[in-house]
Amino acid sequence: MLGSPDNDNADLLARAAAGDQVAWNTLVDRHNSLLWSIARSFRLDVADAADAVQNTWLRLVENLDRIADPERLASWLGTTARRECLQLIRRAGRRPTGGTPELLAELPDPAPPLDAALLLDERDAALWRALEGLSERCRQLLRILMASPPPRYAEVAAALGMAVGTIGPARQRCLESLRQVVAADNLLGDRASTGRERP
Amino acid sequence: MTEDEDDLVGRLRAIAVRVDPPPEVVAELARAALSTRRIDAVLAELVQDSTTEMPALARGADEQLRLLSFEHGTVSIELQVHSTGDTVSIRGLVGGATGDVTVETPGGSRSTPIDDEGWFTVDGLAAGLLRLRVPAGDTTVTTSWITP
Repeated sequence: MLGSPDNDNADLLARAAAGDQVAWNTLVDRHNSLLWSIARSFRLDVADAADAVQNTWLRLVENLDRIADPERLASWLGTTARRECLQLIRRAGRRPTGGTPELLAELPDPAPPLDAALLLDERDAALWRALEGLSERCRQLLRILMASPPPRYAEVAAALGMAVGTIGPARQRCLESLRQVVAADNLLGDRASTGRERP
Repeated sequence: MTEDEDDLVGRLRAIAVRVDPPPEVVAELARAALSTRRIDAVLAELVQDSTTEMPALARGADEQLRLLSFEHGTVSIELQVHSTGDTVSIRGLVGGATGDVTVETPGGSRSTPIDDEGWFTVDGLAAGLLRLRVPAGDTTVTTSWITP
């Protein structure tokens, strides 16, 4: 019956604009993971990522009655989050001002998000580590795709400043690269762990 | 897209949920953000922003100047936002409004008088989002959030 899970956005926005905290919380719960994934995809550390996400929400509050296309709210949030991330990166002086996002690829990772200790499954830990073996663009794309609920391509495109049509092929290419990195790691890992007992 | 690809993304998503979820405090702040809505103020339109027209006006490695103009009806707010490291100062010119200008940050707000010629100065602000509002007749005109 429901064409899209977001087809009640117009209603939620209107209610939030009138001060309805429950409606606002629904919007937050629905999109917070996407915004967090975007901020982390830009390699912001936890404090900066928190700022980028909060700034994005503040801008939505300011624009509650000005969202022209409520069904595309998630894309609006994605675009806004992207701007906030780039602005924070610019302010932090981590890259030359007025540069292009591609320059991000040259940045060292300030805080690898890997906490392998939390991953009991060795294969999961290997998969997470393998992300660091990808190109920056692929790592960023896949990190955004990890948002839950799964983002639509339009939202991913908004967050990356890319055309929607490029997301599907890029996703396929990046997942293939990831498989290759994992396969290579497995070869090396198996050799290194020869003689070690595996459960 | 193939089923395999979906499986792989699904696995990655499950891992991200465990090792890098949004901290609960981020969600709490997001829910609290609704309280920043001001229904008594009208939003002035951003009509000019130096950062969209030219590379930032860097004065040094650690210094930046951003010029912003807002308008609503007969009210205009022109800002020179000067960032040095983690500190921000603002020199502003207000047209069509008198009284005090209020600078609001997510953490609080402070007011400063607009002088006879429309100028005001605010120093020592922490880097981060801020917005300004000025009284205009029986309403208040506010700028959008600015990231210096």
